[in-house]
Amino acid sequence: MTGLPHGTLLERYSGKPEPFLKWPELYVEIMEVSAEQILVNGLGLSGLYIMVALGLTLVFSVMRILNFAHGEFYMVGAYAVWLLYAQGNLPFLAAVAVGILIVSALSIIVYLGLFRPLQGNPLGGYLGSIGIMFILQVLVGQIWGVGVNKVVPRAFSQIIHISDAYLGVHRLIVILASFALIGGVWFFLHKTKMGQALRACAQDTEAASLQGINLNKTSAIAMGISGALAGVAGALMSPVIIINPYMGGSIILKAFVVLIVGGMGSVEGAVLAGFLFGFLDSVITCVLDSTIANLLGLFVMLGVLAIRPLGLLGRETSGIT
Amino acid sequence: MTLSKRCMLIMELLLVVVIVMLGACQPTPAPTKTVKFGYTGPLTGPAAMWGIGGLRGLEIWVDRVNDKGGLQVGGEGYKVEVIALDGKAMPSEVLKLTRKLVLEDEVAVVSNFLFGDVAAPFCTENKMLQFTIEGHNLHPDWPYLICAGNADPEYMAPTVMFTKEVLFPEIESIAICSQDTESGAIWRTWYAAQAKIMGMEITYEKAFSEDTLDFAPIVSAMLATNPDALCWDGSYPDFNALLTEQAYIQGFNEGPIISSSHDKDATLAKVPANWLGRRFISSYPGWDDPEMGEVANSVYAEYESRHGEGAWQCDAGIIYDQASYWGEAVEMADSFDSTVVRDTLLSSELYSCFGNGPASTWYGEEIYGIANYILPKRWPIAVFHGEENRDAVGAWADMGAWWDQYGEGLMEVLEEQGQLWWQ
Repeated sequence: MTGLPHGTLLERYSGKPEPFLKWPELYVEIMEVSAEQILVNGLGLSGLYIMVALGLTLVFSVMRILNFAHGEFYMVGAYAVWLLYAQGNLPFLAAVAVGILIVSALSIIVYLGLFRPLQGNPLGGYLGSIGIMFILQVLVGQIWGVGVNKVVPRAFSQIIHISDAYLGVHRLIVILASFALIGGVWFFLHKTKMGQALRACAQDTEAASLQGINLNKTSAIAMGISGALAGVAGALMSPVIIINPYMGGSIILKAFVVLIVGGMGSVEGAVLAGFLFGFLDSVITCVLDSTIANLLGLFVMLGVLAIRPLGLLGRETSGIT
Repeated sequence: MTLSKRCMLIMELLLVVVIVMLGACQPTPAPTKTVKFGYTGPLTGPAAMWGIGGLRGLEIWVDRVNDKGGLQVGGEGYKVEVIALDGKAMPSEVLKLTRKLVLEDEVAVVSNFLFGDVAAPFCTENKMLQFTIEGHNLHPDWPYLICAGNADPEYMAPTVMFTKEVLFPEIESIAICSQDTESGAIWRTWYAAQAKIMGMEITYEKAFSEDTLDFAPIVSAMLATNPDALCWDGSYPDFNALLTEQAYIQGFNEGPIISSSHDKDATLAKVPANWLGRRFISSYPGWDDPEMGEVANSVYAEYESRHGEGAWQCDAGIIYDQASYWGEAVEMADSFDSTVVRDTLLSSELYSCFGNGPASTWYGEEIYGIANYILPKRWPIAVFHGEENRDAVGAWADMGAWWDQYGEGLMEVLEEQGQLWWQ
C-alpha cells in the first residue's frame, strides 16, 4: 500500500492566511466586543484577583512575610467545595461557608506551627511557606489523586442578559462577594478595635506591644482572615475553574504581581491593582490573546515600579494603609 | 474377536478419546517470560484525561493478551508488562522518560501519547519501535516512528466537511481557538484549511495560554466576530468544558460547536444536555455505539466495568488499537525485534479494532515524507445526542474519498503555513 490516491479538486483554495495583527483593525476588534461584556468579564476576573491578593496583603503587612502557600489555601477552598457540594451534596453556599472555615482554621494552624516560631526571621518564613505549599499539594494529590481534574457542577444555572452582556449568576455572585469583602475588610480594619490593633501591629510592632496589643493573637487573626479570603476565592470560583492540586500556582503569581503593583501592605492598593490587572487581562485576552496578556501584565508591573518603586499606593512608612 | 476383547477395545478407544479431550481442555499455561511495553502520556495536568484514558485502554489490552497466555513468540508465551510514566504534556519530560524506558527499563516498544517527534531521534538512533497518535510527528528521518490507532490531524477535516455538508449547510463562518502549543497550531491549521476550502470565512483563529484562568474573554472575542460555528480544535478536555460553558452563558444557542473530543461529564456539569444536543460534533464517538463493532463494544464495557459508568474516554480506544497492531505484528513476525516488527507492520494488511471497516491504509508519503501512518479507511464522526447523553456515530468519513476531493487544497494550505515535512 503506497498511500491514498487523490484526484482533482472540486473547489481550489487560493486564499492566503490572515496576518496575525493588523493595527488598523485593532480598534475595530475592541469595539466588536461590547463594552458591557468587557465590563462584566473584567469585573469577574478583578474580583478573583482582589480576593486572593487582599489576604496576601494582610499577612505581609502584619507579619512581613510573603506567604507562598497562599495559593494552596485557595486550592483547599476549591477542594472543600468539591468534596462537600459535588461529592457530598451539601448546598453550594453552605459548602462555601464550611470551606471558608476549613481554610481559615488551616491558616491559623500554619501560623501557630510555622510562622509564629519563625517570627523575626523573614527568610525562614518564606522558606517555610514554600514547604507548606509543597506539603499541601502532595497531601491533596495523594488523598484525592492528581490525574483527572475535579469537576464542580454549576451551582446557579441562570444567565443574566443585560444590554449586550451575558453574565452567569454564579459569576455575578463572585463579583458581589468581592465587593462585599472589600467593604468588609475596610470596615474591619478601620472601624473595629481588632482591625485597629492589626494596623497598629503593622505600623510598629514594638509600640503596639507597649500599648498592650497581643502580637501573637493579632497575627493569628490576620492569618485567619487571610486564609478565609483565599478560601472564599477558591470556593466561589470552583465551578468555573480547573481544580487540581497545583491550581494555586497560577493564581499566586498573579496575586504577587497585584500585591507589588498595589503597594506592599496597602489594602487600597491591592484593590486598585486587582481592578487594573483584571481589566487588563480581560481586554488584552479579548483583543490579542491570553499569552500576551500575561506578558503585558509583567511589563505593566515593571513600568509601574520604575515610576513608583513602592507601588501605586505604597508608602515608605510601614503598616496597613 | 470375542465379546470381551471387543469390549476391551471399545473401552480403550473411549479412554484415548477422553484423554485427548481432557488434554484439549487444559487451561493455557501461564506465560513465564515477560516483555515490557513502555508508555508516556500526560497523567497529570490539563491533558490528564487523555493520558489516563490511553493508559487504561492499554491495560485492558494487556490483560486480555495475558489472559490468553501472553504474546506467542518463539513457541513461548510472553506476559506483557506496562511501564507507564507521566509525560505531563511536556516535550522535555517525554524525551527524558523515553530514554529511561529504553535504556533502563529495556522495553520492547514505546508509545508516546504526545510529542513523539521529540523522542523520535533517540528512538531511531536506538532502533526502538515507537508509536505516536499524532500524524504530524512523522518524518522521513525517523523510520521507527509509526502513527497508529488514531487519525490525527486528518480526522479534523472530515469533521468540518460533515458539519457543513450534512448537519449545518447554512453555516458560512467559523471561529477557532486552542491552547498555545505546537500541536494546537497544527490542528488549527487543519480545521481552518478545510473550512476555507469549503468556502467558509475564518472569523477568529487564535491560541490561548495554558495558564488561562478565565475563558470568558476568549469566548467573548470569538462571539464578537459573529461566527456561525465555534471550534475548540484539540483543546485539552479541561479547557474544552470551560469554553463550552462560556459559549452557553454568552448566548451561542444555534450554531454547531466542533471539537476533536470532549470530557462529556465535565461539560454536562456546566451546560444542559439539551442545549448541547445535536450541535456538538467531535471525532470520537463512544465505543458503545453498535456501529463501532463488537470488539469496540466489548472494550467499552470492560472499561466501564473497571472505572465506572460514564467513565469512558476515547483515548482508551486509540491506545488499545495501537497496542493491538503491535501485538499482531509481533506474533506475525515471531519476534520482538523493533526492526522486524516494524517491517512486518509495514508489509501487512491491518484492521482497526473499531468500525468493522476495510483494511487500514499506509499513508503519509506526501504530507509527512514517509508512509508510516496506519490510517483507517473510515473514520467516525460523532454527534452528541442530548436525549441519550452520548456521543453517537453521525457518519463515517471515507478517508480516501476525502483525500481525493480535498487533499491537494489542504497540501497547499499546509505549505503556505510551513507545516509540510520539508519546511
